[in-house]
Amino acid sequence: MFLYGKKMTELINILSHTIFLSLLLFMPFFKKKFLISKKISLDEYDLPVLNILFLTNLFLIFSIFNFTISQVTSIFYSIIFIFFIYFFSNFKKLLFPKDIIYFFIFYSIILLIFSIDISKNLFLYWDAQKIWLPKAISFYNDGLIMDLKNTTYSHYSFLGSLLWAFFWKISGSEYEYFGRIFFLAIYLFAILNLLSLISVNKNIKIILFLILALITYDYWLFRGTQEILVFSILLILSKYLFNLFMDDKNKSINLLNIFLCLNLIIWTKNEGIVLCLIILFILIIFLKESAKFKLILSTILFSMILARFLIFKFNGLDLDLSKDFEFSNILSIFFNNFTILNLALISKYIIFSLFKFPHIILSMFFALIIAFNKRLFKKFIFLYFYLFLSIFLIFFIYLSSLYDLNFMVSTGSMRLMLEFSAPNLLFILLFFKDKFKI
Amino acid sequence: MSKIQNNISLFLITILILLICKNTNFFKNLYDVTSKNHETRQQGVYDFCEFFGTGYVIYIKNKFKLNSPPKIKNFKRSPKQYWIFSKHNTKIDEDKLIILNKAKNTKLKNNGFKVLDNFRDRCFYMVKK
Repeated sequence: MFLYGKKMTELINILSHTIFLSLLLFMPFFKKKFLISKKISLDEYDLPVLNILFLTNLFLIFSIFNFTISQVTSIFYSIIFIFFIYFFSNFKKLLFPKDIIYFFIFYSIILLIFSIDISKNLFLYWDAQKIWLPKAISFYNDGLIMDLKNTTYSHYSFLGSLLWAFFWKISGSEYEYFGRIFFLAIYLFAILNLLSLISVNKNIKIILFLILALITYDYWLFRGTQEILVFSILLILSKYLFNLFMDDKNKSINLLNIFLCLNLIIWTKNEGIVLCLIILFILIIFLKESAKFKLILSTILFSMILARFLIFKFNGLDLDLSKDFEFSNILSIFFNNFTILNLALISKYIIFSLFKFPHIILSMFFALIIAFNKRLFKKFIFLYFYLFLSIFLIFFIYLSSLYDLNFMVSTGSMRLMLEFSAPNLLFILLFFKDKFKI
Repeated sequence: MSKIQNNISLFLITILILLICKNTNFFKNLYDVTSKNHETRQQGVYDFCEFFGTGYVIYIKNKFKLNSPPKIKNFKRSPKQYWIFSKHNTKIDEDKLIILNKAKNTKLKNNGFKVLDNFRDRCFYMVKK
């Protein structure tokens, strides 16, 4: 009887945690009026996106200033308490996204279905057991950044583990997977946010959301590795990158969102730093702004990267980006490995990943169709640039590696492909957006 | 949107949700979550004593009601299983030892340890005498 009660408690915990996460991701913490007064027009998801990006960056800042997870949790609960008072006293002044209840309900249902899948499967991948969960456990037990010295791969970025620990802690449950449900929440939210690029009826939007969730979700993504987090953040970033290049309005908000995302990516995975440089490169080439403005953007990004290394150094963590590379000889290793056989091997796994992730093959299909349309190709050339650079990066990473290429590619290439694939989803969306003028 | 279109959309939404439920085995998962406890489910997805040895470590943790992790030695290359004791993993109890995946031809040096559990001469739980 007691055991049955405990199992039901776990189910109730999952249910309440998914509702809590849905509320957290959908609630406007800013008054829309405040932003409207600055002549900024936002769509229904921009406010929640700003909220979640600020919140996750805030967690990071707290950890940098040596706040423990218990302290951050107390601060978080205080903020939530203040928010509730603010929420109920200003209810009429707050502008909620259109049809929010409708999207909220479907979002919560899908989040619950996938959460139940996580709570049943529970399997953690090798890297998760060896690298990410021990870091999350360290944070969960009120460890600080400097305590990561005692974990393996202390040179790895740790934001994913920090978020894992935080959402595990606030769930009140003893089970680690409650932290991973947040990865699920942000992934689903990123999909819904991307769909706000098209203006369709709410039912059609939900249908598209369900189709995208159906073709992209796999428990494989939520085994505790961090690629899904980078994928989700990159998906959020993609929308604002598109808005920045296609729309003259809201430049500052789009750039703010992009840089908040870039900061999260830098702190989530080490290859995120290179990914950020690719995004910066695209911004420099395609942004219609003065050279001075672009120089300022570059300085901001390089300062963010520098800050990451300085904080690692200050906390006594290893500054190496990866032990799999010898950076002083990287070019000679690259050219040594640059053989037809190795290129074929990497290509083979890239092709495998197309079949593993249906959204990648669909994206490539629409990229190919758009490539034959001169007008669309010219319009979305920045996406082709990204596609080319991200695939080049995958080849470069493996060809520069010191270790057995076969092992490296077979264990990591699919995850890299997934991680980098988020902006490619724009190919599908933009094709239909243009075709049906939606 | 006409009423018919609206009904078709709702029908499609229902079908898609059911498809998602089917793809993720939602109803079976829901049954498992309500009928099996966390550790049973966890043991179900890992090997017992063949590779990670996760199942054996969970079994020992429950059988001997361990709070702090014993020292774990795995003869196979695998991630350390201390994460199973997630809430208390800060200090390893050196007086307790779990051996995983000992090969048949490898001789076990007890070194003052008493074997409390032996699974097929392959995985062991020992405490200092």
